[in-house]
Order: sequence, then C-alpha cells, then structure tokens
Amino acid sequence: MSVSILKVEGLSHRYSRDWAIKDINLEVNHTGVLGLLGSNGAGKSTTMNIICGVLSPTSGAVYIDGAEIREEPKQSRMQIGFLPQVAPLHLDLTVDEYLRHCARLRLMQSNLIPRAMQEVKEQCNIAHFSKRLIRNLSGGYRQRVGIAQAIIHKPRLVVLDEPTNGLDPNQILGVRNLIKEIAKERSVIFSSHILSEIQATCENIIMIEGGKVVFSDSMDAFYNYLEPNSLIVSFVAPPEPSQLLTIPGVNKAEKVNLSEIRIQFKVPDGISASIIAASIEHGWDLKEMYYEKSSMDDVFAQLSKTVKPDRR
Amino acid sequence: MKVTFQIAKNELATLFYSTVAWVVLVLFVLHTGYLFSSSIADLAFKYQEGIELPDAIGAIFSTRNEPQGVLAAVSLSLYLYIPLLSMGLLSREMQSGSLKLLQSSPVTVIQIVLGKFLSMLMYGAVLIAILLIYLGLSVLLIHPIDIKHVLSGLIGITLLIATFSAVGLFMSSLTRFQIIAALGTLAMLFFLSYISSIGQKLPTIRDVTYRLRMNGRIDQFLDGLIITRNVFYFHILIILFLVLTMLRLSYMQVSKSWKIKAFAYSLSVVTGIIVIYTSAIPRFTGYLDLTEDQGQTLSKASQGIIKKLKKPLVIHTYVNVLSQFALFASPENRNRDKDFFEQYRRFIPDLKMDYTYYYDTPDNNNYPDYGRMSLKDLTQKVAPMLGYNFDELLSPQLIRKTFDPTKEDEHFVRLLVSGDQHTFLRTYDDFFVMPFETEIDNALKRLTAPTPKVAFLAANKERSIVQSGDSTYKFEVNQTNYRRSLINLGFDISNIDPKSQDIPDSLATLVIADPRISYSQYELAKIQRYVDRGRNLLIVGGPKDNNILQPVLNFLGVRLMSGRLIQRHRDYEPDLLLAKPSIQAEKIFPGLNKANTMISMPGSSEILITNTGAFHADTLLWADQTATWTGDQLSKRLVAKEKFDKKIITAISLTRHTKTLEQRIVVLGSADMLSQRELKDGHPNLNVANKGFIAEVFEWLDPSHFAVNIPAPADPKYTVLLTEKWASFLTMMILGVLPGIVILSGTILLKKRNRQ
Repeated sequence: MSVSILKVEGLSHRYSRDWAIKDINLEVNHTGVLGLLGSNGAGKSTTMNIICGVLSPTSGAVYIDGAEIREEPKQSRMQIGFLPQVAPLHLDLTVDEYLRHCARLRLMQSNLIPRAMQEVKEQCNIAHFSKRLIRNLSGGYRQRVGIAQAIIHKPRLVVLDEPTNGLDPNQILGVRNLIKEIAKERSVIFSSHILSEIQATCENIIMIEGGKVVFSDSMDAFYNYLEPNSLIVSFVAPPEPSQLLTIPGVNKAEKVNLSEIRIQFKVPDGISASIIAASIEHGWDLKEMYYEKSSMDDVFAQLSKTVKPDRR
Repeated sequence: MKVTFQIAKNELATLFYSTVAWVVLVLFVLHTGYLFSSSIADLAFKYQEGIELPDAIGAIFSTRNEPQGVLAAVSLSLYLYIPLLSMGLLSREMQSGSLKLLQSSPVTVIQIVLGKFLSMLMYGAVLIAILLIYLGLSVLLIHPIDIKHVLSGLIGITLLIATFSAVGLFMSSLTRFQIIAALGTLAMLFFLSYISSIGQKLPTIRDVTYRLRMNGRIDQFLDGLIITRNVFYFHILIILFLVLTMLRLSYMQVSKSWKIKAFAYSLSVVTGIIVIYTSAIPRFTGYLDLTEDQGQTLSKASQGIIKKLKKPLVIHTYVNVLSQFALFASPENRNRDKDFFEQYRRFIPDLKMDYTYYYDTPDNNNYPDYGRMSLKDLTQKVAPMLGYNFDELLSPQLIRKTFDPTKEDEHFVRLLVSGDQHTFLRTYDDFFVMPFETEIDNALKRLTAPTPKVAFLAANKERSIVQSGDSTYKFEVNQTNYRRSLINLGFDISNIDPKSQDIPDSLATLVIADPRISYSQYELAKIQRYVDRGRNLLIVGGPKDNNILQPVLNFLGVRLMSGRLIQRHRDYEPDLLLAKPSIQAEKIFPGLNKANTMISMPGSSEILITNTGAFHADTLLWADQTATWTGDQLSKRLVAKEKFDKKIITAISLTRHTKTLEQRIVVLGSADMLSQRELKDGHPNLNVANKGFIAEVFEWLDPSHFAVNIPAPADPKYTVLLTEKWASFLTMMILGVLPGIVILSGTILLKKRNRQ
C-alpha cells in the first residue's frame, strides 16, 4: 500500500479562545492540483500554515509522505515547498543568491544546487533575471521567484497560498500555467477565495468554511453539488411557454432563445417522461433535453451557509 | 551547524547589503580612530618633550576619564551601535513574511536563533578586528605594551557585543517594526545597566538587583582583571535572551494559553537570575589578573597578612548619619561600599560585612542647624535627604551600648574583628575618603601581630598629641580621619609621664617633642637609662628653648643651635626653611626618593654633631647655605668665611649596634614641622613632603617594621617610536585612509547591487 503524499487527520487549531479550524481531514495521494477554497477568514491559511509546519496544531496530525510533521519535522519539511500569501522573499538578494539560500535551508546537497537552480529558473521563466535584485522585479516575477523557492528542492508537496493575488491578468495566466506544469510531477495545493481561480487550475477541490471542510471532491462533483431543478429543452417547433405549464410538475417555463425553453420543476421524478410525452402529443418535435447545472457561485453560496459562524 | 552558518551568512550578507551596517562601521572607525590617533600622538609629543608619560595602556585603551581610551569609549558607544544592527534580525523577517520560509524549512528554532546571533557575532568580529589594528600599531610604536591587559579589555568588549546582540535579537522578535525593536533594545540595556538602582534601600532585594546589574562590569575587563562572576554574567544573559527568543519564536508557531507562556518566560528569567546570583557568591568566584605587573591583585605583602588571619574576618561598619561621609555607606550605596573590599574578598571569600546606622554629633560643619535644633530633630530632617529612614537609626543612647562613637570622633568607621582581636579601619578627610591597600593592611596586621607602641613624653609641656591646635601633634599622631596619622599606620599611641611612670623597653619609639620645662634629674635619668638600653628615640626641638632639650641631646653628642634659620622667599615667611633630603635619607626612606623633594621646617635650628661616641651619625635633612642665613649667628658665620660652603644640617639619624639590635635615633631641628598647621594646612603652591617624611621616620624607628606601605605600582618607562611628524601621518591614515576604505567599499558594493 502506497503512502499518502499528504494526510491530515482531525486537524484543529485555536487562536486564544477561538477555533480557526476544527476537525479537518484530508488526504492527497496523487499529483495534480488540489484547490483549497474558502471565503476570507475561513481557515485556509491556518490549514496551510499547519501543513507546512509554520504553525503547530492544537490537535490532530499532519503526515507528509508518511512522516508526522511534529514528530519528524526535518524529514517531513524536506518534502514541502511553501509559498505563503506574502512571498517570503529577501528583497536585497539577487534571484540566484536567494534561491541558493533557500536550497541550503532545505538541506540540499551542495553539488546539486546549481543544477536545481537552473532548472527552476527555466521552469519559472526567470533565468534571465538570475543576477537581478528581487526588489527590482515586477510583482509577477517576484511571485515566480516565490514559486521557484518552493520547488527548488523537488518536494512531493507544494503548497501555494493565493499565489495569484495582486497579479495582472497576464501574470495570472502565466502563474496558472506554471502551477499546472509543476503539478505534473508533484501534488500542489492551491488556495484561493476566488472561484474562477480554482475552476481554472484545479482538478479536485476542498472547501473550508468556518474552519470546517464543507466539501471535498472533484471539480465536477462540485458543480453538481446542488440538485438540479431546471431543464433546458430544445424543440424544432417550440410551443409557447404557457403551454408547457400544463404538464404536471412544471412550475415555470421561460424562453431562452428561439428554440430553447427553461423549465423549472418541483420534483424531478418523471418530469422528463412527461415532457417527452407532451412533445409527441402536440408535435413540438423534441430535439434535446438536459438538466441545467448549478452555477459555482450558487454552490459556493450554498456551501458557505452550511456552517454557523460561531467558532467558540 | 551547516544550516546555522547558512542563516548567519545570509543575515550577515543582508546586513552588509543595507546602508546601516556601513554607516555604523564608518562611525565606529572614525570614533575609535580619532581616540586612538589623538592619544598616541599625545604620547609621542610628551615623549619627545621629555614629559613624564602616563600609563600608556590606560591612555590609549582603557581609561574611562576624558579623554577616554578606545576600549572604554567603545564599551559606551555599543549601546547605540548594536541596537541599530540587531533591530532587523527578526522584525524584518516578520514584516516581510520571510520568516515563514525559515519556519517551513527543515530548520529548528534553535538553528534560526543561533544563526541570527552568529551573524551579529560575525559583524562584531569586524569591529574587534579594527580594534586589533590599534593594538598592533601600539605594539609596533610603543614599548612595552601589556598585550594581555588589552586582550582582557577586548574579551570584555566581545562579551558586551554578544550580550547586546542577544538582547537585540530578543527585542527584534517581539515586534515587526524595526525602530521599535531598536528602541526596545536600548531601553532593555538601560534597564539592565541601572537595575541596581532598584530597591537598594530594601534589604530583601538589594543584593539581587545589585548582582543583576550590567553597569560597571566591563570596567574590570578594561582594567585587565577577568572575574568569573562577570564572565558568567554575560554568558548567562546571552543564554537567557537567546532562550527567550527561542520561546518567542516557538510560541509564534504553537498556540498556548498566556498562563503557560508567562510561566515559561518567567521560569527562564528566574532561572537566569538564580544562576547569576549564585555565580556571584564570593566562594565560587575566580579571578584572573592579566596585567603584566599584577596590578589588579593584592600585593604579596597583603596576601601574607591575610594568610595570618586565623579566624574569619567580620567588618562591622558604623555610620553616623550626620557624619561627613555618611552617604558613602547609606543603604542605597551599601553594595557599592562593599565593593571597596572586592580585592580582599578575593582572598577572604567568607568575609562578612554588616552595617549599623545611628545618629550622633556631626563631625563636620555642614549642618548650621546643629545647636539650634535637637540632634533628633536635625536627624529627622536630614536623614531622608541622605537616603536613610530615621526609624531605622539608633539613637546616641542606643549606639553607646555597643560602640562609643566619641572615641572615633563620630566619624564613619569600621571595626574589623577576627576572633578576639579587633581594630578600627577608618575613613579619611581627603579626596579618596576610603582606605587603600596600605591602610587596610595596617589595620589587618593589627589583628595578626603585636602592635608597635609609640609613647610621647607628656609632663613638661611637650607638644600635645591629644588636643587640637596649630602647634599640637594630634593631626600627625592621633587624628582618626588623617590617612597617614600614626594610629592609621598601625601604631598604638600613648603618653608617658616620666615623673610617675617608667619608660618601658617595649616601646617602638619614645618621642620627646619640644618640651618647654626642663626635665628634672630624675626624669633625665629615666631617659638616659632608656637610651642606654639601646631603645629608639625621636627628639624634636627648635631654637626656642633649645637649652631645655640640650641635657637629653648631650647623651647623644648633639647640639641644637640657638637662633632660627631663615631663608629668602618671595611668598612665605623667612623662617620657613625648605630642607632637602640627604642621600642617606633617600636610602632609608624610599618614599622620599623623588627628584626635588622638599621638607618644610618652620622655625628650625641647625644641628651640630659634636661627639656622638658609639653612635654613627648621618645627615637626614640639610639646607643650602647660599640661600640661608642664621638669625643671630649670621655675623659669626660671615666672619668664619672658610665655613661658608658648609651645608646646614637640620635633621640627623643616629645608629648604634648593640649585641642584639640596632638602636635608632632621629633628631629633628624643627618642632613645627610636625605641627597640625604645617601638616594639615601647609602652604599654598608649595609642594613639600613632610607627611611622607614623618611617617617614614616613625616606620624606620620601629624595630618591628610593622607598618605596611604599599606603593602605587610604577608605570613602566615607555619608549615611543613615533615622531610628531609621523604621528600626523598616522592620524591621516587612521582618520582618512581607513574610513575612506570602508566608505569606498560600502559605496561600491551598494551602488553595484542597486544597479542589479
């Protein structure tokens, strides 16, 4: 049985009297990007800080590649690359100086460091800035340097806390692509409170709200989290929407375009059979019919409501 | 360790990529360079001009007085330099978020803290290297240079840098704002320096806060003395603040209740305090005197006296609150007062000291209300101003049950007790007030050996040793607050009435001082028997009533001439004779062995040596006749021109060897030369050595050689291999080239990096 890259068990953390997160469990077994979604203050950063060893949890355990982070901090941290919300850069150093320092902090063998530096610089497209002071780089390139430091030691797990914050659209696209590239070889946890970021980058998603995991599954499952209550129906000879209200179970009908009509219903059971029967009966010539997915905003809003705000 | 060095290296690089590190370095070079070059140029000038050179180590490196030595100045300026350097150590990382890089790396909190601390030590090493340049130049240019003495100071400076850095590191971990970290460091260092001013009136915490103080500890390093107490202090403080920083970083990662945090911080601090306090216990204290002449260690003579103490030594200090120097040992200053005995505590670790405070008659004129107010009311008014609580003072009635202050003229005095032996150790009405090694040794010796007895004949209106007055000898003999009085040199003093008392052989010296009534045959016979038995004698007389002394002098074959010797002066009375010590005097009185020493002899007689028989006579003091006339004998002298070039003798010694001992007698031709007016008031602008001469006379006359005299260590004869011209060149190099190199290096580096 293979060892999980990341396993979090019953993770809870309290700042003074308030619980920031409570009983969080998750497991990452494969490469790819795992999105960590949650509104501001939901507990994402706390979770990531704990996973990366920056914070020690009040209770629970974090295993990185099988090593518990408090019991075997050295071994576990060697397999982590972390880019916090604010990139941990030394602005007075050049890119090379900084990456070399980071590599040494991660206990890389000296003879492997130059090659590793070259690789990450190329991967992050910052090789042409090797001798440049970090303070003289733009925000996008600083973020790339931040990502480079997180992967220079080739960790199995890379944790990126809102890495696209504050970047312009072009820079965001660049960073997204970079993350996808990195995720080919290792597991990446990508946190954001922006749905589109998660949607664009991640294959799996965990949503934290009020310090608790409220959703954990694939991106598709996230879309389908809410049970559908509408159908889009396409006819060759579309009827008037009022005619559709005669079908049992139909609540509301409205035109979407010339051929499509959105039908809302109360109970999904038997609604499609009823619509097909009515089409045959009235000669509307049904072409296509599918359930309308919930919008991500709806899912996000719905999931956000599931947790009470009181954390005491 | 590799990671620790990596963190240190990175921190040091970051430091040098900022302007602050270079500015501090330039200021340091300019500050120390100015002090070094000016002091060495001053030494070169003095050497070339033939002016007596001061202690070179002190002048260049360690003196705390203006102009300060380099190391002394550095020890004070580090308070400003180090906070500027340490302020960003952790606060910058907290501010920028880069601390998370360390926290998420396989690096422990210990490695982070040690790495940061090590970076400061590395910067400190640069500062020390600059100071070593000065030491190297001193070794090249001045001989001899006590290198180990300077190294002791450098060790102290290194410890200071390390301690300040540890404090700065901790303060930097408390805030993300660098300026607050710097101010916090300054405040903490100030607190540690002056913590000893807290609670000094409270017996329960007085010793604790005093032992925790940082102030003054570096001074002993600068003086060349390494005391384990100080070494431990700095090390414990370093460890304490590093531990506190580690706790702080840990608690940034681990959420704990404030109670647990407070407990952990308090436990660390309390443990540190306990270890510092314990390490300062005299029994556990070690000393290493790195000076070439062992100048920071008690002399062998003092150590010998201490070894003879059979019983533990206790020092009871009695302080009259209305006495002149009551402030020196007030509750607030009690620990500082105890420090006066540091050198002795080194060899007597179980030395005990206690203090008794009382009020009684003032021993000075500082209280105009005395007489108008009752003693109690006056004390109630004055005591709080001096830091005393009136309710804790013993009344005159109560103090007399254990100690009679009137016998010590109500002065601030100490009673030394060892077993059943006791003696007084006093304070003195001079610039220094406190006893030196000589006075303490003489007092201690009285606890370990029979004390020499000096008796003054007192029946024929001789000079009084009891009453105060211009002509009396009380000041020289019995004055409790005069450092060189006989009682403070260890002698027991008494009067003898030859009419009713025999003159015992146990006397170290019998003094016959200017009698105004002739001795009877009975008395003369007693004196003669004393002389014949080979005992020592001091005879002091003058031209007035010289015939009264003559019968005694006849035993010795000596004559005191009538008529007073006079001398032409611009500012003084003509009968103030300024005599010179003879070669013999300089030989037997080593303290006089200085060029141009003069002894004032008001109203002096010439001494004629007629027929001394078995006694060998030597001139001690003489006057140059070309500048001297003898009043009523002037005409005779002028007639006898062939004798005109003869020296006029004003003091002689007589020695005679008997079977068992050497008899010593001194005759002085001026009775006023020992008077209170001459010794206490002296003559303005006239530098005479009467006090030293008279003390030496009594010490020479004492067959037991009781009195200990510890001379101040003489400075070595320095050779300065630097002319004034080259001194200017050196100044230019140190103040121009050295800072120039630093500024240029910094500018090039920072400019180059800013372009990247």
